[in-house]
Amino acid sequence: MRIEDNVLTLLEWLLPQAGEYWGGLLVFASALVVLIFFGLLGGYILSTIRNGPFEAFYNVFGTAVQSVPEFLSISPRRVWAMTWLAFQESIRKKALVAFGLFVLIMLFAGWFIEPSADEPVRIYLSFLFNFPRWLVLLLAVLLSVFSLPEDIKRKTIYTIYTKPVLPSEIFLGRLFGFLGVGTLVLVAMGVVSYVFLSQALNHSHDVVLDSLREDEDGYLVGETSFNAGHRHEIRIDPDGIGQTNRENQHIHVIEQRGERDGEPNYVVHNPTEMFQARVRQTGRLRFLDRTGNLTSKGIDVGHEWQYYSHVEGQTLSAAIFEFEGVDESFFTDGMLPVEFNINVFRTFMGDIESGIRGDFYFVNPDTEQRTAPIPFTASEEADLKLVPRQQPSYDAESGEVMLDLLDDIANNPRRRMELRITCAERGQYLGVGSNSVYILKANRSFTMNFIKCYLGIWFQVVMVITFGLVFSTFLNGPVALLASAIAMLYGIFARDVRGLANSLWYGAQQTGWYGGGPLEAMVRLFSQKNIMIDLPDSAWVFVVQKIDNVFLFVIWVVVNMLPDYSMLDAHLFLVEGYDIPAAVVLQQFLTVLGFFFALVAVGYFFLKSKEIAA
Amino acid sequence: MSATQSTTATAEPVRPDNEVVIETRNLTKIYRDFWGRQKVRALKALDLEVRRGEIFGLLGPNGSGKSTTMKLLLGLLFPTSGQALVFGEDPSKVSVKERIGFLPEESYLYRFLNARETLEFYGQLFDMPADVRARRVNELIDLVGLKWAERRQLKEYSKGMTRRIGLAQALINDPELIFLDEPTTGLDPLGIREMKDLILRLKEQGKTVVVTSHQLADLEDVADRIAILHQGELKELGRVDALLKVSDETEIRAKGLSEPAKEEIRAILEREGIQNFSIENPTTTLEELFLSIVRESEERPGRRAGSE
Repeated sequence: MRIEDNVLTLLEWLLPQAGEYWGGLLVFASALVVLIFFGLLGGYILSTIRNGPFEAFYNVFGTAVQSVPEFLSISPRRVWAMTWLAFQESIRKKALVAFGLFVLIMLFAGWFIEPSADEPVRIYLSFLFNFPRWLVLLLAVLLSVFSLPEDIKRKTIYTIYTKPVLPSEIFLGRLFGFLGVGTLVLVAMGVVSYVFLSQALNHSHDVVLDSLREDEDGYLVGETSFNAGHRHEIRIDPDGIGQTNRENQHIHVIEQRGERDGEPNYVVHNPTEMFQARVRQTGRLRFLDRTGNLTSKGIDVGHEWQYYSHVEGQTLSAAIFEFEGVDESFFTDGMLPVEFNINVFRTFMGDIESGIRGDFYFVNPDTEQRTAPIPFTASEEADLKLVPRQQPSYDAESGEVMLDLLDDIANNPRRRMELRITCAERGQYLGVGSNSVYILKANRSFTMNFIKCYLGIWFQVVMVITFGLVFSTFLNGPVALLASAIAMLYGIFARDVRGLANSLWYGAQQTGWYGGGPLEAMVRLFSQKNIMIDLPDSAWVFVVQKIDNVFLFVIWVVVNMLPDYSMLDAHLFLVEGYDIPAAVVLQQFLTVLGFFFALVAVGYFFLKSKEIAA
Repeated sequence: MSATQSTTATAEPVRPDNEVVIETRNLTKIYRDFWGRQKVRALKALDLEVRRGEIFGLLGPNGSGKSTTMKLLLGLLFPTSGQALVFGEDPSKVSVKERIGFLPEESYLYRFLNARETLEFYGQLFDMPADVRARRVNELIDLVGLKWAERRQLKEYSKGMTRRIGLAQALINDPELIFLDEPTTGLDPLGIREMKDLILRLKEQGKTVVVTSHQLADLEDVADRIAILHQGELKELGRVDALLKVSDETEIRAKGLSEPAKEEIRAILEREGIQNFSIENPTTTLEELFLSIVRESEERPGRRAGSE
């Protein structure tokens, strides 16, 4: 999941939305229907080849009917026995070597990761997420794909199958056993990673006493010693308490503790604000076009990445972020913390060092009361503004000189407040996306965020093991390995494939399929008509295009049924210092749960219909 | 046909109980390749009945279909046509499996477990309460004589030890019906005898035992009835004693017969006009000789057998 993606609430995610979004529940139900239909059809065809159409019907119908009481009679004790067996098998077959390998590499990781880099936290967190993730996923694939085929090959499964064990119990037992090993390894890796992270970036500095001088406010300013590849500027108040500037994604608190050798003794504490879990309060984004009319999108400046929509300088164009439910919790010490991550698009170079100037102000959407514009400079970096709650009014003639953001601007039934951004430079553009400007509501526990991020890896482990086991019920070990590896890689790139399929499907519905599908392409190939030439308006063209549409629909359905691991990956939130919303974790959980039930059912039917001794 | 009588349909029904526990009707198994083409017809229209309390032997050379029959009866294979019923039900049903035990040909067990863990694991599959399971595990470990090696992983076991623990797992649920696939494979003569004795003990306990073997002597001592399969077809079915009886020959066995008495018998036989007869001391089987030597050696260690 990317930080620019809109985080839907659980209800929004589950239920259909207007437009293209079906909602999680409908997608799950549709996928289930498709799965059941094709499962029954495939089973019937296979059984017909072997046993003839009538017996095939009896077999498929019988198996389907029998499955319900069998699922209801799953014995936890037998599942536990199978789980413990799979766990023991993995441990005694040296599965923990993966953890040993991880520790070994971590011992030398410090040689290759540079803590003095500009953004050390980003580098460390990316490494400490991706390395264990790939290692544990590889372990999950290897554990899951070879076990059942090996059992069948060695015939050890004979002694299981002749005991009162259901196929679903065999499947679930292995799944839980391997999951136990995967969890154990992942937790161990997580603990090591966390310790490594907190230790590797821990450092301190000394205050360079010779650099200290008093500024006009009576504060001491100066700099620290050069440690861990950087130094900080410092500012110390007359009471001897101060802090450094933000460098390499952190600050240090400084404290004077008496004197040493007749000089003040300053202690620079360990880094703070290095690991954050900031909570974003995002708003609904709309725009005013250059004539001041409300629109859903800003100006398209031709960027390939369409996340940012632009506001033109020196026009009526503006970006409007509407926040709902504004209350005291939005403010910290009477200030509204607003963070801007604004993109800049220049139509001429100008002064490249100084950024593009803009203004922002707050509006009550009901009364149209607005504050005076606050100037800022956009320089394509995160810029946190602490906006005082009391703001001068834009319209002095209204009689109110100052406006309170809570009592005046958000004073409407749904406590709505608009933040509008304009560009002050003619011919230049400011780009905003739905999550690029937000109110920072809180800073939560980084440790919890780290755990939530690792939970995402665990969800991926569940998926990989479940898929691996399903493949291993009907494929032999190496082929199951290949299939699982492809499924895993697909899952990682599924977002792009799905995007392509969706754009084709919805595009075809709206504007037609440019050049047509495979059948039309073949017709064009043989009739030597390129995609610019319209095909004749005849019945066969109609049929060809309909067949292509069916093909496209099937592709679209299949692509949307396959798992998308990118939604289980929230490490970008962690890396960028944002709290992973609970809604995201819940969506991940429900997605995995849906796949889990579907795949267990698939695995059950494959095992049930398998002739173990054939 | 040899002097052995064919008693396929007329076997004398001396059975402790007449309840049919296994029944096959026209049971046929054809192995096919990936494309569904016939590879081997492993079993052809087998009709069998096994009754409660009997030891039933499936005899035949390699590839005769006896293992296929057993796998069909265990639900490890699905019939191509026909029907296999165990306790009157489809053998793949859990309710059937709760009542059976199976010793596979090669004791396919998890080699990373030790004997105790193995039996604990299989015991858990029967939903046995922990105390019952623990007691049963101890009993079986004692029964198969592996107390001294119960903590060793099975990968360290000899073939004979593996067979013993395999047998123990087959008996973990105190089954009513036990399938033993080539139970004497890999056992030394002493082990073979012990296995046979155990099979007979199971029969005494009222259990039904189905044994497959290609070693004729294995079944001769223990089986009540046997079915002889060849190339997937049932060739012979009946009581062992009836099948082995040579009806046109007479054997008289006596101990301490004097030479004059032997001469008198010879004279009587000649007087009756019988041409091909022999009067001589019988030889024991090599198995019996081996077993007596071992028993004697165990009773009096260090002494050479028969030295007195």
